Amino acid sequence: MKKILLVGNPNVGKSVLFSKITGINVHCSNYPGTTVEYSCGPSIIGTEEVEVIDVPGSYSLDPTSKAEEVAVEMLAEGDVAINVVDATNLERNLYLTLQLLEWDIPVIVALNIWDETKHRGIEIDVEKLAEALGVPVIPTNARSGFGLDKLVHGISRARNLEMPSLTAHERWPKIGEIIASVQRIHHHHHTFLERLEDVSIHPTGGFFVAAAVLIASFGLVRVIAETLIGYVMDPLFNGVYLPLLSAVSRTLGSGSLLHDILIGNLINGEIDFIQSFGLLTTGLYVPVGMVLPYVVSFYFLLGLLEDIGYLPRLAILLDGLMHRIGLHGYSVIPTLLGLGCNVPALLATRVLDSKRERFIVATMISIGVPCVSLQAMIVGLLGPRPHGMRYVALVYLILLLVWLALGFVLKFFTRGMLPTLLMDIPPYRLPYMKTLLIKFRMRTLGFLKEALPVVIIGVAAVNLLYALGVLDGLVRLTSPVVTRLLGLPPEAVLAIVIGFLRKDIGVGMLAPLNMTIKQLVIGSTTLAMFFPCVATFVVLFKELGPLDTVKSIGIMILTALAVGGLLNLVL
Amino acid sequence: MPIALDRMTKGSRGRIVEVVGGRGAVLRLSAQGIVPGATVVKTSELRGGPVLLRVGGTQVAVGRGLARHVLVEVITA
Repeated sequence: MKKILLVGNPNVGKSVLFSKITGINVHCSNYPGTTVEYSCGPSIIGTEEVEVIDVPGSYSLDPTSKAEEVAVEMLAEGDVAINVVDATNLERNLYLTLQLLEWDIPVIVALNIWDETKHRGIEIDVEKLAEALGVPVIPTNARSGFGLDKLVHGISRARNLEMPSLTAHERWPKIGEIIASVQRIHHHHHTFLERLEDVSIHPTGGFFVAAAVLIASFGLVRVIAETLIGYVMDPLFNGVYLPLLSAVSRTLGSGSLLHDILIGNLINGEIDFIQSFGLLTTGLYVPVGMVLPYVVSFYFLLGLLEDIGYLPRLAILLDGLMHRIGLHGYSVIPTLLGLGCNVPALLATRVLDSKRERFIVATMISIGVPCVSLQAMIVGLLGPRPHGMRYVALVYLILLLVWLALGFVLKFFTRGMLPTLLMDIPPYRLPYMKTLLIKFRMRTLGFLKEALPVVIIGVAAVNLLYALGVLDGLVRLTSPVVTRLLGLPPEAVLAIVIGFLRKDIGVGMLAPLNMTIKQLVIGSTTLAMFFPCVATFVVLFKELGPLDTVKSIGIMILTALAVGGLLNLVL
Repeated sequence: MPIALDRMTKGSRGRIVEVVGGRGAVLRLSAQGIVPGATVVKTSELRGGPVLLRVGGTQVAVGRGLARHVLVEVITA
């Protein structure tokens, strides 16, 4: 099957174009041996069946990052390249175009985001551009579908020029000449989005925007999640599922082994979704009823911020601060992802340049960045107590301080180069619903696939170990540390152990222990920092290798004990 | 007398004369249009953070460490 590659800079609307010219059988995968994601899908052009591949966005074919290396390797296997170019940003995009023309592959150019040129006062002579480049140029607007038919029909006219190779010093002047002859820029009034762009990276205004965006996002995540819980999940679980389970419970009879495993313990003769700890009660309710609503609303907002183009601005704004803790601004992005789930966050650290920085960011995320599951449970546990939300805020504050302190310490104790940031600032765009929803669906399904089996196995394992008396031994063995140092009841050991499987279940297990609010704060912060959950652990191991993983985990345990002990003294 | 990007005043325009640095840094910068001969406008900078430039039609953020390695001749202040 013929392979058609979509090649272009980041943020030129490649994904939207891709979703428009492929059918429904689209799949995403990692390029072999890397975590660089790309999508491919079948399409029919004329009467021929082809495979369309959305190549990772790159600025040049002299690879300077993993994603660009992948792009170059894919180019060697492709049959035709559609070079997707941002018409509002022609000059910079032509650098990749000129490099593509030097490659041994037929090229056709899609001059995308064509309608925006009018708003931005840009006039491009398409025929002259095609003449200057020597390949067909088709103006397109992927969102509205404008020009796509023409583009697809034009693929057969794509030309392989295999131009002699130039150096960067020769390419830019050549681009300058082309631009001077094909493009005219008229004065135009700044659009609303352009003004918003300016203010969000303004040295002072930018921080107000950032604070407003982050506060609004977290507020919205909570409102959406709590609405879902209140109007969908709780009615479903309490109204429909509970009567069903009660019937099952009566049939099995409390105290039988099967009842203990499936339903768990009855609390005052009733099923309690959090405390009963059976496969069908707690095992299902915590991931689906309590955590999923937060996951859904977090991923929706994250996708929105990504597609609008806000995240690079946040990275630029925080670069100065991040430098003080040995990182560069871009590490804000894995860190934000970590507030959803630490697993994709650790994978995202791959975009960072140095090994040192990856170690620091990965360790900081594992310790100081609670995933949304954990946050949901902390809010669920502390929130309903008197002044509960203040204590929730306290937990966040402690984690933030630990995160910052850790950065300073790790910067001091690790060796290696300090990387610097270099990125272009994409214009704000209104998000395109279809690509937003595809991403959202993939992330949400990813959570369910990852979380549900682990929770079910974890709950089963605990019930089994409990029945065998193994856990009692563990509690006795570790209770001096837990009771004296942290001031927690000995049974909290169980919660910390289970925290290794799933942090949310671990925090949930603190609920029936009748702890004071102080103990709950200590318990949940310690649990958050102590050890990564098993999924995070596996990724950490894969990303850092055995030695650095041991170091990282040593830091986690020490930090958790030190901070937990300190809190016990201070609070 | 050429000066480094981070020393340029805000709003000034300059022509790049030299990029001092390793192969990796030079390649990364050249893909963003930051090559000797190019004209840039420094639009803004963040304290302790990146320098913001307009190169061609694009805004680019250059981290402080890297900005020190790019030498420009100021055309208009």
